[in-house]
Amino acid sequence: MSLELKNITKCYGKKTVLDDLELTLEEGKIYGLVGRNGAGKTTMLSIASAQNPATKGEVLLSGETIWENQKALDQICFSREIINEANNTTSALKVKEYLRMAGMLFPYWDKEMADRLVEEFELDEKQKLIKLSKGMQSMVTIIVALASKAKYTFLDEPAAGLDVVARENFYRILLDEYSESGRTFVISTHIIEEASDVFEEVLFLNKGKIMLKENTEELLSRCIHVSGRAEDVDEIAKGKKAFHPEKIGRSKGITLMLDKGEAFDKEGKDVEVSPLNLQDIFVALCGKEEKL
Amino acid sequence: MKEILTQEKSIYIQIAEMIENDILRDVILEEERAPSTNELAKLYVINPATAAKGINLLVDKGILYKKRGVGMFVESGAKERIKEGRKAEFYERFVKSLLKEAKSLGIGKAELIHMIEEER
Amino acid sequence: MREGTKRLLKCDLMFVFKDIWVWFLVVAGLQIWFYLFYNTVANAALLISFVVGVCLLSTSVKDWQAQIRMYVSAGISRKGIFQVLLIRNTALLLTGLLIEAVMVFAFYPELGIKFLAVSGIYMLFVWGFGETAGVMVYQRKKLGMFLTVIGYILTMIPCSFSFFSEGQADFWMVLLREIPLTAVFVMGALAVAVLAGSICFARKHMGKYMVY
Repeated sequence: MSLELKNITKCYGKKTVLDDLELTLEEGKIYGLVGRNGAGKTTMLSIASAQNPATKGEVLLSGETIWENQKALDQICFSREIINEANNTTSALKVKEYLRMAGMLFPYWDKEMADRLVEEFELDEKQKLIKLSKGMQSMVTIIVALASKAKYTFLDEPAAGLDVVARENFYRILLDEYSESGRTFVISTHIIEEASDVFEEVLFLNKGKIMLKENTEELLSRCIHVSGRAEDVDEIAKGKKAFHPEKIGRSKGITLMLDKGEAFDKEGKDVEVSPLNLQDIFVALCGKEEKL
Repeated sequence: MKEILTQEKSIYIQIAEMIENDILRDVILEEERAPSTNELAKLYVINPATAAKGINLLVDKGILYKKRGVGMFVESGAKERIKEGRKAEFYERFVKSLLKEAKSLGIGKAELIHMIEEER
Repeated sequence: MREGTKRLLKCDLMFVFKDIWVWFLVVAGLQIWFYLFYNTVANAALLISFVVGVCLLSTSVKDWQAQIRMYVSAGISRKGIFQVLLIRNTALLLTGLLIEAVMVFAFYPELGIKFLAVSGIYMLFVWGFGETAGVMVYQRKKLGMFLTVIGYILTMIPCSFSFFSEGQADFWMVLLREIPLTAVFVMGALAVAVLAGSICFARKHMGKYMVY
């Protein structure tokens, strides 16, 4: 079973948010979805869960379109931010009522798990959603996502409003559920660094396309930062994928992306080689482009 | 167990090293059960696939072995094997770079040995 | 009925009952107030008409404001949602008419069918009106909110008249007695057309509903 996004294009009016996007999500992985503001992360997730129609293209689950297909939709949960705009009916609900409603709507709902998580996050069930802080609202969204038990579960910026302790807690609970059930999770985040160890694969969304989809560990191992005398660095970078050059006087630094399986060779040059973290790689790849 | 992970090295290598450290310090004894993939994943908040990669590294090195349905266990003689591996690594990482640095500073071999002997 | 649709219907009824209950309390409160201060008792059959009408209006608008969004987010197919909304509104309308029928035949047997027909027409109108207003609210058109307010005012008129008149000499009763059958038929046809039009309109927008 895999979820495929085929030639997805999405336009809001004249603005093209997703541009002929192709993506296959295999079962049983935690994906990290990373992209800049307005890159189309939320749009992509909402199309992949049939909450929004695509302008062009289709989404397939095991080869069947998910659009208006209840059987496929039962396997997918995209737990969205609760409060946005004038959605006053939902926000007037109490946590308890909201979860009860979710329990009625999701076919594989795990009530026991929802109750346990409410306790773990120390949420007051009698509180109205609108009165909750941003972080607590995120927790409710997280609870719905996890307890939905859907094969494919999407979370949009779940960590954004959470404090450090709650964030660590969330990742732990997520991993726990993941190793127990083998569900597929796609999690979008801006806080890349602390989440990178959780993701088996990362998806970089840039300019409406999936720019990169790769095993996190492999990506980290083939991206390096090389610095030294400009001539030496240029020599080494020749013929390689190079990003994000920075120059100070005679010295130059550059991010290199080696081919899969390629070993790095200094070619006898006196240059400094250092590893990069996911955030550096993201900035190098998706940051403002500079001319080499 | 539970050291802090750094960004300098691949996570799975760090996981393997930490298990090795525990074996060296007798925190985990030979023929004893080593932590499982899921335990490691939860403890360090990392993806289970990464943790599994670290464990497989140790299996390939002949330090851990799998008992069907029970989990991962430490091979007998693992401690010795780790020590040997670490010695080779010690030479590569420290001695070689020590010599290189000494050379660039113009410190001769005799002087270097003298320095080591002075250090207590 | 499909399993997903059943699940949704259950959840949806929970929400609607809350709404009906609120409107029921409002009307009951008004009735008590009028009885205590003006010593008038409103026509119960008309009140039921009003409660059902206002519920149809408010739920139709609310569907488009929030409920549909919630259901789509929870992974229910648009077709299923649309079905449930139709079933629910029809059920609401029929239940209202049924209760009304009991009262009408008890108090005004001579008006019987005519009373129910006009009442039914009124409900169909309100429903159609609410559905269209709701879609426009969803589209974020100013006209949507405007229509909603107009809808509430129009819905309340028949009710307010019945509060201020006395029993048999009720304004609406007199009107009902006088009104020719052809007029009822014309109104009926018009109401069906309005509702059918707005349901088609709603279905078209439901088919490509987007969670913002």
